[in-house]
Amino acid sequence: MKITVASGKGGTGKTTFSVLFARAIAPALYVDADVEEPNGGIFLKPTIEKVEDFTEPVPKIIPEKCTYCGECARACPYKALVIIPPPAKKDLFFPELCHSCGVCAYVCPEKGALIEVPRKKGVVRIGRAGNLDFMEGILNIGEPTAVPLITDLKKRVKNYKGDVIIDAPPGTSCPVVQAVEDADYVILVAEPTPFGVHDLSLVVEMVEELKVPYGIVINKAQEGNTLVEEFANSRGIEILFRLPFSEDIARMYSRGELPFERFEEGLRKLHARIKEIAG
Amino acid sequence: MKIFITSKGNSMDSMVDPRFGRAEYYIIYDTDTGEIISRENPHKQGRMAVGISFAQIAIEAGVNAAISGNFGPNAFEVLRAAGIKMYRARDDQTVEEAVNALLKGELEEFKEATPREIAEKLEKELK
Repeated sequence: MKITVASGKGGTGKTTFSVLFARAIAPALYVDADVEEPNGGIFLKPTIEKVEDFTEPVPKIIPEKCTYCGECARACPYKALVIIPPPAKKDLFFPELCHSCGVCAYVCPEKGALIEVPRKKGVVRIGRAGNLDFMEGILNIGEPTAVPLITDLKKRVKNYKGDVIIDAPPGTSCPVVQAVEDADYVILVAEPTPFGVHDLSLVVEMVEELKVPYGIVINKAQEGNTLVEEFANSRGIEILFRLPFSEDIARMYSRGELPFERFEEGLRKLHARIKEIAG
Repeated sequence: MKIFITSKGNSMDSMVDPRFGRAEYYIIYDTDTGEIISRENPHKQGRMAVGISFAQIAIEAGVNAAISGNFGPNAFEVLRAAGIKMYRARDDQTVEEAVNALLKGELEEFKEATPREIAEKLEKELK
């Protein structure tokens, strides 16, 4: 089954939880879909076996065939193309604005004057960390959108035999929707602070809209702090697990380490519970 | 010759707007006929590709020169490709003063774009 780990707020412990969980339930596949800043690999320390380019089609003008009519530039919703009409007859392309939507090629009235060529926008790294399969997407800095690379990662793991843990980007924007959509279950990681609960409520709205079953994991849980519980109770959402607030975990984290064995048993029980709900 | 000037208002007495892409207005002055066109910048609140979109207005109008306080990297590249020369107005010049200065050969021509960091800082200050 495919389980996506998301959070409204950044820095709540999505990756901490995801890697602990993935290691506990291995054999499985951990996918870092936080492609603008993937960091699960820091803790899992995988051996990378394959690095593949992630490319998308972008326009290329063929000067001998182009009439410089400007149809493509006018149609481009992102203004990534500029056509300077005759007599200058020049074309300018701004790759950082291009979303590879293909409308330029679609509207071009001259056959063969605008072709689409692949452009590298990032890489996908594939490897193993012990008995855990590992995959991460790394988007090039400055690319306008993370969605296509996340879509590519999802395609790659579609036929994986076994459980897939997708570590999503933070927030509630398009890349998160892409990572959450069509998951079998979504784990929302939240921290018990006013900001944490506020952003949790936003991501709850998002998963409700997407109609995916979900539950909450509290990170940095503290005795006597019931902020997340109060919110969860008021909405009838299940609290699945608590990672305690601990200076010792923070110290390990700062060195790129995590206490994998400490929560193994609890996380395996959580895995069984999720299978029961969504399996 | 047609001159494209970024302006804070809609007349020749208005001050030159030091921003290119996010200028309040633009004025096109035709030195041969004396014709003046002034319009609000439709892209000033745009989210992205503002400089590129605004530069295309100048290209479509067929201007020969552009006057502003700054030209960002993308706008600079587009205007240069179109063969439009870019000139720097001073902060205290009105549109008319800047045009006269250009015609007397007193304005400095931009040989490179305003660096992105400076353009963004200016943008914040003027907000």
